[in-house]
Amino acid sequence: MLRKEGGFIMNRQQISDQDLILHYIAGNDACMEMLVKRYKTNVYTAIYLVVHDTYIAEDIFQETFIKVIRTFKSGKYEESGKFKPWLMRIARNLAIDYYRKTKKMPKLTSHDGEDIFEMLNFHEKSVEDVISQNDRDYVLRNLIKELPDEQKEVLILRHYGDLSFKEISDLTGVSINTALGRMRYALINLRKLVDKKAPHLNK
Amino acid sequence: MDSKITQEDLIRFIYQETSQEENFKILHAIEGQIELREELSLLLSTLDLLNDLKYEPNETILKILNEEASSSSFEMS
Repeated sequence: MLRKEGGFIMNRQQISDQDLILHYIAGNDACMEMLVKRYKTNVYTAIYLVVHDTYIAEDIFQETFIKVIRTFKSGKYEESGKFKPWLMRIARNLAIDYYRKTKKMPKLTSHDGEDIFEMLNFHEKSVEDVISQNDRDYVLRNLIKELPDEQKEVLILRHYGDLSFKEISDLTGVSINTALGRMRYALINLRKLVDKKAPHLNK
Repeated sequence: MDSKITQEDLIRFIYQETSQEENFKILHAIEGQIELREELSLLLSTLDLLNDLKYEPNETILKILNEEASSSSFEMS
């Protein structure tokens, strides 16, 4: 769909990340807004599934894009057609930094900021209790959390971060085959967890 | 498992990272092998669950980012 955006006509579906970045650096602020919109769900979901806390996820999300914006403004961004892996690398590093600084698990809150301890205990929920999408999300999030860290990382980066296995290999320093193997075990183990602990999630 | 199709190939297949030629081989192998078909079915059903999880940041955060994007000046390189 063609829309007038920031003073010129552009095609939302076709304009590349690289073009958006170049136009932003050239002074079109709307292009940065489009970049944020393009990746906000992937980046935020990936961060949220790592930190499991709305407020911390929002802080890391904001800091990620502020780093991006400031790098663009400083003139230090080197375009190599790999904006998305670079963006995910920043988010991943900030999440890792967060855990290094706090050295503890964050206080758990639900996506709408509700204290998780005020909610019904996950393990005590019956099938009848789990009726809303929010509950389904909560149960699934907790099952993903139970996966081994290396499997969970690949699953989040591939499925929610939308990185290719090659990009995950570059980011995490493991071979592509190792990343593929971890993804396979993540999916198989998650399926086992669903079948054992939450069969009601099956559609 | 078909000797030409690995479990890793199936993972690349479900994430659409295989070439057309590989897709053809995988689809052909799936037709002939129940074991392979079952693994693919298990993987796809799990993917289906994962697709339900999507979160959005608060609108306030997006406004802050828009302000940041338009406020500071660019450094001349």
